[in-house]
Amino acid sequence: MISKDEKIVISVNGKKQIIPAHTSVSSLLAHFDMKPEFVAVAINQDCVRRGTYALMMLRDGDKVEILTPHAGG
Amino acid sequence: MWQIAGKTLNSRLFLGSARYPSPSVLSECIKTSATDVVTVALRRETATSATGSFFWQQLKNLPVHILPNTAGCHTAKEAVTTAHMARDLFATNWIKLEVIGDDYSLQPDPFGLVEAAEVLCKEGFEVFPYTTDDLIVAERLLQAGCRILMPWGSPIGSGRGLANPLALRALRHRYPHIPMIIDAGLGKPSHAAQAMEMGFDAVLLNSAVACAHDPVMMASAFRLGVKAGREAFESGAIPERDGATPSTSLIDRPFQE
Repeated sequence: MISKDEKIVISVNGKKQIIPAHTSVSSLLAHFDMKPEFVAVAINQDCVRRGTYALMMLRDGDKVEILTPHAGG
Repeated sequence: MWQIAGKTLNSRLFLGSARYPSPSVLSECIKTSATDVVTVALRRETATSATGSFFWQQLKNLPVHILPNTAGCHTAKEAVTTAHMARDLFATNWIKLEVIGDDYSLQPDPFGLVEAAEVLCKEGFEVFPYTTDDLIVAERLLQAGCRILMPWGSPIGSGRGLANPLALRALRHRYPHIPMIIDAGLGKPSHAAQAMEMGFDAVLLNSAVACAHDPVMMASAFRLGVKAGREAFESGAIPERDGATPSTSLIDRPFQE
């Protein structure tokens, strides 16, 4: 049984983060004040499709990449 | 006008969006170069969304096609995931595929490149593979499903132009119907003109414009260089000869006995 206070440890853009269990990608973006329309997300090197952010729950040990448009050659 | 990857373009100059002194200079260079295609990247968002959103809003207001890249990826998996993320964010199936094998030369890893290209082509991406001038790698990329090739001129940002014209010419002649874009290493408009004179379909450059003393003027110069090279190619230049062929007739020369 998972308690409401349970925390998980994930990595976001290479940095360790401790977040509540059952956090969705949407919630994570909101926590970092990142607008979904300007980012792309991958978990454990698998792209998370934009329309599934609210449904995709993070798990302990997940490595999350949140990328944004950037100048490039 | 010409067609590539399902789109009709006016310009044969593709421009990178990095290393400009300011966003306004970038915008001016895009306009002055008259490019239709601008490359972009994906990077970690370290602050709020404002950084990426400002850049994205700036580009969206310009009449250009976006060509996302997988710059910085060292494995096929990294490149494939980045391509997926780019398609999700930029709503395009175009991808400039880079799988880097060496951090000093930024030379492509041909094995990872072909592996990633095969995956992405099967998924419906239009892959613009950044490759070397190696004929065998080119053949493998085409077998993997690529419809376009982007051989390097010389290492990224080196400004050296076409380091191996012989190999590039061989590549061009071997695959006359494959769209080929010279990508990387160009430094001067004459380099772009040389590539176009050889029959390449377009050139992609970034540092040559962004890092010039006057980027806007250099963008104009490259636009002219590409145009001159293409018109030279279409005009049919005279072949090179070892000996001389006089321009002025030898008949009725004066002072002859």
